[in-house]
Amino acid sequence: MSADRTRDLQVVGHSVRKVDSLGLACGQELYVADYATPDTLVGYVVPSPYAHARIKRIDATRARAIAGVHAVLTHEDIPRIAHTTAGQGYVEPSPYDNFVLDSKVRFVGDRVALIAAETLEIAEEAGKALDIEWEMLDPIFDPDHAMDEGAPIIHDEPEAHMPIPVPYDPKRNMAAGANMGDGDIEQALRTSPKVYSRDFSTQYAQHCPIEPHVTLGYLDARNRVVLITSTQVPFHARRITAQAVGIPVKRVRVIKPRIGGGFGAKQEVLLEPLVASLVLATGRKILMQLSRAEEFLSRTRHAIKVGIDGGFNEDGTINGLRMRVQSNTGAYGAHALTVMCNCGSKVLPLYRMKAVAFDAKAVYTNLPVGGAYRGYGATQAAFAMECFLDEVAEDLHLDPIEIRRRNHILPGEGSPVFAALGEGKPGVEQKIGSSGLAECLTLGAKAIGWEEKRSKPGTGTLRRGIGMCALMQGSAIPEIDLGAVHIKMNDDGSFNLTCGATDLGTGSDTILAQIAAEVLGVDETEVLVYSSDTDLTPFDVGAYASSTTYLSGEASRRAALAVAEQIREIASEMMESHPDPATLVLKDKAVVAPDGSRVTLGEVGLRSLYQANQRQVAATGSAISHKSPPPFSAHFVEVTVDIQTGQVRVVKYVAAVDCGTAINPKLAEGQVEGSVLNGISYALTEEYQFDDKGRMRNTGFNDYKIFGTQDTPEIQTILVPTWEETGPYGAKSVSEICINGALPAISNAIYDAVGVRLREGPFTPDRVLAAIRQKA
Amino acid sequence: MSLAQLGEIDWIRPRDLRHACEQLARIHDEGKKVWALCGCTDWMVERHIAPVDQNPLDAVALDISNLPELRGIRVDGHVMTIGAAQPYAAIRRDPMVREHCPMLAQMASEVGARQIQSRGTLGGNLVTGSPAADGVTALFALDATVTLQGPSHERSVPVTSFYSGYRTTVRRPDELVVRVSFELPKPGAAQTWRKVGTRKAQSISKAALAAVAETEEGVITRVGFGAASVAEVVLPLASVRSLVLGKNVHSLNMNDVEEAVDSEIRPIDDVRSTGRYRRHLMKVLVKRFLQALA
Repeated sequence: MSADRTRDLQVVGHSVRKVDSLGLACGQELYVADYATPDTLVGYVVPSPYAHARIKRIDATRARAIAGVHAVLTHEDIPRIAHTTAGQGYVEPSPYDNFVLDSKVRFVGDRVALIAAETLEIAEEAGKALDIEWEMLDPIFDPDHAMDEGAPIIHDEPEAHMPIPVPYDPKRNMAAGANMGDGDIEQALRTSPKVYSRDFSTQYAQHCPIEPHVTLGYLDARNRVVLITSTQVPFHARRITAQAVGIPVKRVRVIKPRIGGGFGAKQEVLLEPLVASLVLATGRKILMQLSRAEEFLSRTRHAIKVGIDGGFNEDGTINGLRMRVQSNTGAYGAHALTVMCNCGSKVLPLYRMKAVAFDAKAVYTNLPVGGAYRGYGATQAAFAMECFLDEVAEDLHLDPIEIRRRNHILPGEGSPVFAALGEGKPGVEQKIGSSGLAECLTLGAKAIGWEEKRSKPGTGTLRRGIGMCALMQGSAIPEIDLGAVHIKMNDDGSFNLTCGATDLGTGSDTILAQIAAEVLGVDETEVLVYSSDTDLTPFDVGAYASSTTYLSGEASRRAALAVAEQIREIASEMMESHPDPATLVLKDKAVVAPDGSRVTLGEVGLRSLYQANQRQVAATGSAISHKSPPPFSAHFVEVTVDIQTGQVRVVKYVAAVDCGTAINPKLAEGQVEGSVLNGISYALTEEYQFDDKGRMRNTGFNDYKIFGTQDTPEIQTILVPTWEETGPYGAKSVSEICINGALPAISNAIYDAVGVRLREGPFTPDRVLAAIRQKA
Repeated sequence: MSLAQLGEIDWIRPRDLRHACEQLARIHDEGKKVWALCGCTDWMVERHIAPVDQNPLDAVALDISNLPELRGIRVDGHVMTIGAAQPYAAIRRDPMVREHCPMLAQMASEVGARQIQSRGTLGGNLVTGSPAADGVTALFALDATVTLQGPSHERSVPVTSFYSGYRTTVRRPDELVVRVSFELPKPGAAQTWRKVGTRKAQSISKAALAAVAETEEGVITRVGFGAASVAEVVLPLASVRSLVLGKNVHSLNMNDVEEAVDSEIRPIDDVRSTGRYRRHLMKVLVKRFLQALA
């Protein structure tokens, strides 16, 4: 089906070169810090040395007197406006529990004061020169006890509130709560022939973008605050900055240049309000960039405990599942509700069941702050669900692939979870349109050698194991996210495409150009993309929730269709026979009539701007979605486990992925390989370590290792094409889903190799060995 | 001190070893601190992470990276000599090292990462004195001798006596490490380099073992160990050595071996691993090496 519809495509479905690749490779594209000029001041955040304390008195007199210091701002110097740093749609489904500066610090690394100075050294010196009288408060680090009676209250300020009507109880350190159910779960658990209950936990981790958070700000000639910033959400950054510093939105312009990765970390509006505050205080150009150590304390992956209770029939079909979620959101509640809800909404609908229940809460602790991180809750919950199913399959003597085949959702089917769990409100009911999961399972199993290799661990020191999992994610947030694209035609028949969509290295500029080019009958090199500038480009929510290809891509298609219609009208005017415009075809940079007459796009462009009946050929396309079609994937992994040292090595990893039509197969494969390695690194090594004062001990790449090219196993990506009716040229998303597979697939493979279940990440040699020895 | 301030340091690049020693003695006599610098792979990291007050700007850098006397790899009879400033990459690629001492070549291909291997040296590894030092660990297993050059003397010290404590050595402030030498393992000798880290490159070990053994008709006639990251210094596992030296490989009692390892190592919990895991791991690595002899 899909092959029939993609066969004749000229640009879509082809691995064309990224529009910015040559400039990036040659060092000609600019990143935020490249825009700094010699007169630029350094912006600096004085970090809190304490996990929980109140600033009783703060005196900046000595700090301000230091030569080279241009401004020292404390909480006494700026407006106190509660907001969230979560770069989400308005109204954000995250608590308003954050201030640019506050009289209280809530984790080690929290903001104490802002400084603008000639150099970083001077700024740091000024930070040390602040006279602060602290009132030490008891911290709470253990999420299991954060909601205990008498626990220290982290957000005792009166302003903290949730801007939407969902459970929020800061007096009990609860940052969010959510409950949903469909069918009678208690009865399903009571009456099922087989009932299981397991608990899993995931750890803190950081996105580690190669470029940490960085923002440059200045006042333009009309006294507006211009922020050139490394962000995934330029329009949210504009809105939240204006809100947080108390100026109108129209006084803020946000520009995203090339950026060095985000992975969710830059869905957070962290530095922009701080830089804006310093720009307004000094009138000077300010560059604030986080060090790697500071980046680790910016935003993290929520450490989440997920428990599952499930009632099954003897044949492995599911009667009912209850998912229990406890998320540690750290000191602030950014994305607390939505990440937690995604544990359910991106995992539970994968399987059919008669009854389902979801019971979740997010708690505040005096630890670093959770946020958006690729996978966004699905990573944490897929670990639990897919390991859980592996355990059930074993107990029922079923092949792990078979138990998934007997339960996974099929095209045409819906799930009560879709309608019940949304972004802090009920979700949107949907039925699955496209799914290649069945084929993913078949092809992935074949590629890993499932039949030949599984359950043959061998007898030596090195044992081999094979594991697998099935996954789903979504494509955009339905009935919330908006993407818009504007296209105008030039006098040589080329096009300018402007979009709010945010290319963070992902290739979305290229994807949007390919989609428009396909409609307009030109190569993608004829479509000149300029993106992510709140003054010059149309709105887009930004790069998150696996939305850009699906949603902004559809906006690009719609804008191009409207432009194509205008081109046909002009071409018809130009042709002697004045054919019906609807009969004209755009191809090969020209407009062709059924009788063979033909005008080039260059001729159309010249006429439209200079010669006759002049008007600007241009159109804007907007897209929202009424569903969030899931991409599906099956992951298979072969590992070896050293039973004497506990070392786990990934030998081969197979990811079979249904992302609908891959607009650019090479870029899609890049997303898969990158997210798989990201997931393997998280599964095997990455975790935050804290001391008893709540200080992170491994805030640098010396002690926090991420996997690199030498650690990359053989990764085989199998793209399984399907056609999603609601997506541009049949496309769905691909950017997040594949980070979710490594934790469960490797855990299941370890079990196949050595017979121990790892239900807590990461699977370090120490932890694996302890499990092996405990079993023995 | 920030890396930007590096330019403010006095920097001396001597012509040759004699000149270097003169400069070293002179600066020392003036009461200043000297950094003898070669690959700088540890030094740069230390400057980056050390607190400001630990980086006095009145120190002088003595650049010994281009001294010809500190370069080269040669074999005289059964003895291999490696210049203190010979980078790991050259050791890794050297045909004599690869043929006679593959364990050392293996170490040199796993230390740091490719970039560090191009700059880092055994001399620097020795003097920095980290208990996790890969190069030092390999030299322990080889029973290497460290040669130091002072203003008017040269002296040699067994590498196993080179350390006086955590990151402290018997090198005097006016001495430079100029070369290391060791008796080559005989053809067919068992050699192993086993580093357990977080990932493949740029990863300091949780623990590492270097070992060399020769046997004649099943009897262990030479054996040496280097054990990293299990004490405040690299350890030679002397009690294991005395336990197995002269014994038949088939009659080794692995319980005794475990006890000997246990009694000698003093691993700690830190950010990379736990003392408990390190203790277990070192026993496994040593037993594996000895069992493979049989």
